[in-house]
This record gives sequence, C-alpha cells and structure tokens, in this order.
Amino acid sequence: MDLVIQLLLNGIVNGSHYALLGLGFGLIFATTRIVHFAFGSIFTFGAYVAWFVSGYMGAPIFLGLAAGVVVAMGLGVASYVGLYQPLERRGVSPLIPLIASLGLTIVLENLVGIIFGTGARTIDAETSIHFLGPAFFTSIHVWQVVSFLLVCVLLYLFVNYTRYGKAIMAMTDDPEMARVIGIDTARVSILVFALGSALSAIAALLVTLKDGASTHMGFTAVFMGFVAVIVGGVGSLRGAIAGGFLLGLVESLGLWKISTEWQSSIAFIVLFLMILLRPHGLFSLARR
Amino acid sequence: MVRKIIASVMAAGLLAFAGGASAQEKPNDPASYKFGAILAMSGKADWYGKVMSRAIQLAVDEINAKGGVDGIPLEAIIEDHKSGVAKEGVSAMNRLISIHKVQAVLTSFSPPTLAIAPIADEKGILLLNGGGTSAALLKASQNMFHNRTLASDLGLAAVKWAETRGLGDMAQMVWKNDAGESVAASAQPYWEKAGHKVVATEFVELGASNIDTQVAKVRVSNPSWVGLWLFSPESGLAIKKLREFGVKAPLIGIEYTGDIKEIAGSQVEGFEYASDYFTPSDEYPWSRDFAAAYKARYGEDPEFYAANYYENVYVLAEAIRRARAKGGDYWDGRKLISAIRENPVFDSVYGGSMTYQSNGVAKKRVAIFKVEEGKGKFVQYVSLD
Amino acid sequence: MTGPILETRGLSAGYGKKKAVQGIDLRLAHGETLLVLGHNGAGKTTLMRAIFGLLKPMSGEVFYDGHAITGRIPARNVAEGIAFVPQGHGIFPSLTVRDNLELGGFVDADTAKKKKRIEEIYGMFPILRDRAGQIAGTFSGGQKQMLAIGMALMHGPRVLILDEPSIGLAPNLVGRVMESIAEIKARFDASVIVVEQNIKYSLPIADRVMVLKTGGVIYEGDPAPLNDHARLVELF
Repeated sequence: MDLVIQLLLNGIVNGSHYALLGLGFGLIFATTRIVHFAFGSIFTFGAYVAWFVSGYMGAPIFLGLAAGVVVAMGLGVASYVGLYQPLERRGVSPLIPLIASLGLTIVLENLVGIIFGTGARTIDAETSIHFLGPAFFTSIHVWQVVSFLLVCVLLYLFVNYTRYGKAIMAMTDDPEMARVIGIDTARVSILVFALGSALSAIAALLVTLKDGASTHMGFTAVFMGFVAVIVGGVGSLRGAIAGGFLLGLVESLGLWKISTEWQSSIAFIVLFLMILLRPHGLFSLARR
Repeated sequence: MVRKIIASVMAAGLLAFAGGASAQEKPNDPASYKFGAILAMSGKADWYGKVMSRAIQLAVDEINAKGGVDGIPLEAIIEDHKSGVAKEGVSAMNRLISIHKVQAVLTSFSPPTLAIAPIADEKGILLLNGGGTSAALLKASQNMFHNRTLASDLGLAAVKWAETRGLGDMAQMVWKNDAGESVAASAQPYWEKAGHKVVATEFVELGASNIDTQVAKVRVSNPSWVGLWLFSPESGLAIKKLREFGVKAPLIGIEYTGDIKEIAGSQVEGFEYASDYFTPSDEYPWSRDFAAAYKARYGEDPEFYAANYYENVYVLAEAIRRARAKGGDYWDGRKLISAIRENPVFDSVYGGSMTYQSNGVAKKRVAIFKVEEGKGKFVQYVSLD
Repeated sequence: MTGPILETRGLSAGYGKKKAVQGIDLRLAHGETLLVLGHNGAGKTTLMRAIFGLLKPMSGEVFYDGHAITGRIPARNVAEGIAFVPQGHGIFPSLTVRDNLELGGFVDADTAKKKKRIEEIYGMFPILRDRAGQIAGTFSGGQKQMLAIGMALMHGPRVLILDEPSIGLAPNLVGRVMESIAEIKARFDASVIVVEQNIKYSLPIADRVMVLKTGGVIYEGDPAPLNDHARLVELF
C-alpha cells in the first residue's frame, strides 16, 4: 500500500511535467500543424540558460527562469520565422518542415554543447522534503504540480477571454476558416511558437532543479510531449493534459507489479495501444 | 688434407652465413606508429572521452619528446563512438584500418568494443581496453588486453565490502545493459550464497530521466543496503533520489565521477564505491610524475581512467619495442599481440608492474572509497581472490 | 460613387504550374448581385479565392474600392469590408454557434456593435438563436449554411462573396438562402457575388451574370438570355 501511494504521487508529479510538455508541444502542433521536433532542443537551451544565470552566475532562480523563458521564446519564434514560415509559403508537403525540424534539433543541440560545455549541470536550490503519509516528495515536486496548474489556469483564461486566445482556438479547429474570418495566421503562429517555447522553458528549469541538466535532455522532453499529444488527441489542449497524466501514471503505477525493466517500453506500449484502439486520441476534435 | 681444410673452411663459412641469416633482419620501420583510439567524444558520456583523449595525448607527447619509440614517433588518431554506439565504433574502426592503416586501437565502452572485436580478429589488430568493463569482453577477442578492472569484479569488491561491514538484505539498481547486468550477475549470487536476500532489483536505462518508480520500489523493499550497479551520470541521480525519498541505508557503487558528484549534490556524502585505485605516491615516482604532468597540462588531477589510457599508450610503445627487437615486418598487429603474450609483464603507472593474465585482464588493485566533503577518500584495499 | 466596388483585370490563378483561370476581367458594381456560373472545374472557386487572398494570383490585378489589393492576405481584406463564405459550410465545427458568430466578427473590436449585430443575425435566422449554445458541427447542412452566412455578416461587409451556398441543400432551404441574400443586400447595403451551379434558384436574384468555362469567361451580362433553354444548352 505504501508503494502504491508513493507511485501515485510520483505519477501525478511526473504527469504534471509531461502534461506541461504536451501543452507546449500541442499548442504549436495543433495550431500550425508543424511537427516541431526542435521543441526538445529549445527545451535544453532553456535549461542551460537558466543554469547559466542561476547556477553558474548564482542569480536568484526567478531570474534564471526569466532568462530561460526569454531565450526559448526567441529561439521558438526564430525557428518559425526563419525556417518553417518560408517553407510554408512555398507550399511544400508537411514532411519537409518535419525533416527541417530534425536538422534544426541537431544544430541547436550541438550549439548548447559548444556554448555551455557538455557535462551535467545543476542549480543549487534550497529544497525541502515532505511527507504525505508514507510517501515522500520534495518542494521541487510541489513546484512542478503548482506551475502546471498555474499554466492551465492562465492558458484557459487566455484562450477563452482574449482575442488572440480565441484566434488560436479558431486556427486549431480550421486554419483556413481562420484566415477567412480575417485572422492573420502568421501572427498567431508566431504567438504559439513563443507560448509553446515559454512553457518548455518552465518545464526545463524545474527538471534542472530536480535532476540536473544534460545536453540530451531535450529528446525525452519532445518525445513525451509528442506522445502526450497523440494519446490525448491532436488539436485538443485538454487531450494533451490527459495524455501527459496518463503517461506519468503508467510510468509509475503501471510498473507497480511489473519489473522496471519495462520502463522505457511502457511509453511506446501506451502509444501503440492508443493508435490501435483510439486512433484519434482520447479527446479528438470533430474534424471536417 | 687440403680437401679437409677447404671443407672445414667452407663449413665454417656456411655456418657463418647461416648464422648471419638467422641473426636480425633489419626492422621494417614505418614513418610513424599510427594507432587509433575510439572514445566517447560526444554524447552524454563525453566526460570519459575527454579524460581518455587527454591522457593519450599526454603519453604520446611525452614519448615523442624523448625521441619516440626507438626514434620513431607515435601518432594517435582519435575517433568518436558517440557515447557507446556500437555502429559508430564499427565505422570508426573501418576508417582507422582502411585510411590510416593502424595496427593497434585503444578502445572504450563495452558495446562498440564488442562490435569491433571481430574486425580486430579478422585484420589482426591489437586492442587495448582501459574503459569497458563488461564480462562479455573477455570472450570477444583473442587480440584484446584490458588494464581496467572488470565491472563484475568491481561489483564483487563492493559486495565483499558489504560483507565486511556486516550488512544484510540488498536492493540493487542495475544499468540496463551488458556492463550493469554483468555486475549484478556476479554480485547477486555471491550475496545469496553468503546467506542474504536480494529484496529488490530495479533497472535503469542509460540516459533515463525518470527513475522515481525504481527508487520508490527500492525504498519499499526496506533494504539493509543498496548496490548501485550504475555508471555516470545515472548513479548520481540514483543517489540523489534515494536520499530524497528517504532511503537512509548505505549506498555502495562501482564508480565516482565529477558528473555523479554534480548531480547528487549534497546527498553524495557517505556514498561508498569500489574502484580501480590510481593514486600518485612518492613510493612510485612514475605515478607521481604522471599526476603532476597531467595536472600541469589540464588543470585537474587525473583519475584512473586517465591513468589507464596513459598507461595503455606506454604498453603499446613497449610492445612495439619488443616486437621491433625481432626485426622484419614487426609493425603488425599480430606481432604486437604475440610480443605481449610472450612477455605479459609491463610497468604500471599505478606502481610496480602489472601482468596480463591468460584471460587478457591485467590484475590491478581494487579499493573501497567513501565520499567525504565531496571527495572520495580511500578506505581499504579489497582482495578479489 | 462611380466605378465598380470590386474589379479584376487580367487575373490568372491556379495551383502549382497549372492555371485554373486565365485573364479574367470581372466587375462588381455597387449594390449589385453578380452571379458567377460554370461547371465543376470551370475555375469559379479558384477565381474567388484569388480575389479574396486565399490564393496568390499568378498574374493580373484585383481592385477594391479603387485601390489595388492583389495578392493581399485575407486579414487585410476582411478588415476593409470583404467577407467570404467558402464552399461546404464555412464554420468552425467544434465551437458553439455563439462562438462562431463572435469569431465571424473577429476583425471588429467593438463588442457592443457585435452584440447588436448578433441580434440582427438571430432575427434573420431565428434557429441560430434557439441553438446558440450548440456545437456547430452537429448542425444539419442547411443550418450550418445559415450560420456560415451569419458569420460573414458579423463585421458588416460591403462585399460578400458566397461560393456555392446552395450545395447539398434541400430545395426549400435553397430558396431560403437566396431570400436571405436579398435581405442582406437590403439591410447591409452590400454588393454580392454568388458562385453557383444551380441556375434555377440563383438566376432570379442576379443583376448580372458571368459564365466561366475551362478557366475563361464565355458570357457576361444580363441574366435574361439565360432563361432561354436553348441558350443555356449552347453555353453549357
């Protein structure tokens, strides 16, 4: 029983992290239909910039967070404006931006190593350890869940009550109709690339505080974000959240009685099952 | 009578001639002794590549500064297996052989080493391993020599230490690959034979970011101690998480690096580990001089990986020297290999000399260390017999 | 005001390297209803998309209210008063009726004006008021079309382009749609282009007709001659 409670707690904490990644990746994917693999290496950049400011230079953590978010947003917008948008304008098949994104990922990952050096990086932070009955968690875990909830609330308000938020929902539903009613879809694309990248930087800082940063952390991040979105249903932000939590819970509770030898396979198994049973994901939007 | 004299003169002449023929053929010298090194120059484990290549370069420069091997310089060609990708190791090996025509390769990491072993056998290349620790390496090639203690032996040292300390039930966290599993394969039976239980076995993928489940299961198993059959950086993460999740039992592992220390942070205090023990001492001047030279050039103290690869270059140089003494076409992997087999005793930078056993592994001393104030402090030697 | 409100000169557009329409001169006078007819593949939709900005023209020019808007993205055109109802239900299927209508008025920041406008549209299409909270994708074809037209009216367009508004609709609904177009013109003082294949119901509301065939104009002018069956056969 003790184990189940701990695993449940772990599942919620990690689920929050994956859900945040799913939201970031999903926002970009649903709105622009671009499979932005470089999301992962931008995530890594966000982590290293935050490390540089708060770890290396010793500035307070919120400054590291701000720096990471700003750099990530800049890189996200730059990848749209500099790479994907020109390809879009030429009317190429969707496969081309995907390949371009892979190339961008490699470039950015190597850049991180060149600029910040390779090798694990950590940020010293005062963390406290807490109990919930027999289960343990740290203050970073709490932050992961809290920041996810905060992001959810803000995103909800943004999407439902602001003009650009509604524009995002429109584009997610039908990009051409969005153009028809007068939405400048290029501007909205820039917005979601900025937002999605900002979310990845928040997740990246928390992971750096929790586990440390490494030059290849981005791959796991974009993979989990991608799986969360596919499992939850493309185009649905609620789906991305559900997908993320499903992944987090399966990775922990799913291994309750199964050997942890299967951990890396579990995410793939969930993905395959989803594709087989519900190809449109948990919350699929009605598509024309 | 004259015939007899002519016959004996002719006989003497023949003898002289024959004797001369069996005396040294002139050695067929290359312009330089090119050898390869396939290391983790990129990827998550690039720390290893960094220290190994530094040590290699230091040794090459030292030897060449003194005129090379019998006057011929050494040349190291460093290749990248991208933190242990077997395929990359094979490509690197092929490049080294076909483009640079090397006769010896310094290798690292079990997967690429296992992959290039058949190529080494086929082409007759000497392999010197100072890093990979999987037991599978032993059977992989007749052309390979190791100056690194096998992981399974490190694991054995760790459990022996646990026994010395009188510890009970063990939980183990195992790297999910050859190296990790070979450690578990030697530690677990020993511990069970000693009358204790293994209460949990949790697997950790290389590059894993989420090991919460494994840690939770270890904690719930309530072990007397935890065996960390993991390498850098995963063991650092395991140490941190185990302590954060409330595991207070002793943690005993098989390695300690800068990355492990970085990730584990303050939780690393008290971590114990078995390791090849390189320590410079005045008792062994070579060890002291190497450490000083390494520190002067790279600003860091060398640890045993650096010592092993530095040492391997000297082993190669000595093997070349011994083969060259026989003359002829001595710059050939097979000749180097037989030179080592004929005389397996080599000077060791650790101190004194080391002897390659019939299984190709040079027996070296393993020690137990305990981390105090972030540094590994020597506790005692462990005998593996 | 003199001069056409919307005009094209030598407009050519297509997909990839293929031209779907070539050298089109179109004129829409103020307050006029222009009916654009033609078979499938004649290039009607391509022409409308090229005018509105969903497709970049290959050559030629488009003028609105006297100034050039050739190749401009739709966002600018909508802001200046052009509305487009695309073929096959121009709505957002996963959003509610109310949300759809509000999005129709996206370019307008004036919330009070939009509220009034929504009331007007409910007046024209009462069913939309009854089902304001319903998800638009669950509507029938006819209801979706009414919503699509309602959306297009939200920002009070001066030019309204409808691409085959009667497609897939039952005859009584088609009549209703044509009636609403007449209503729109009266209420909003709009000029309208209707693209249609269904001649029977659309001809009566047209002030002028343009017939397209394989990318070119084969007839332009008064609708009356097309009532003559023989003439129709000749054209089509």
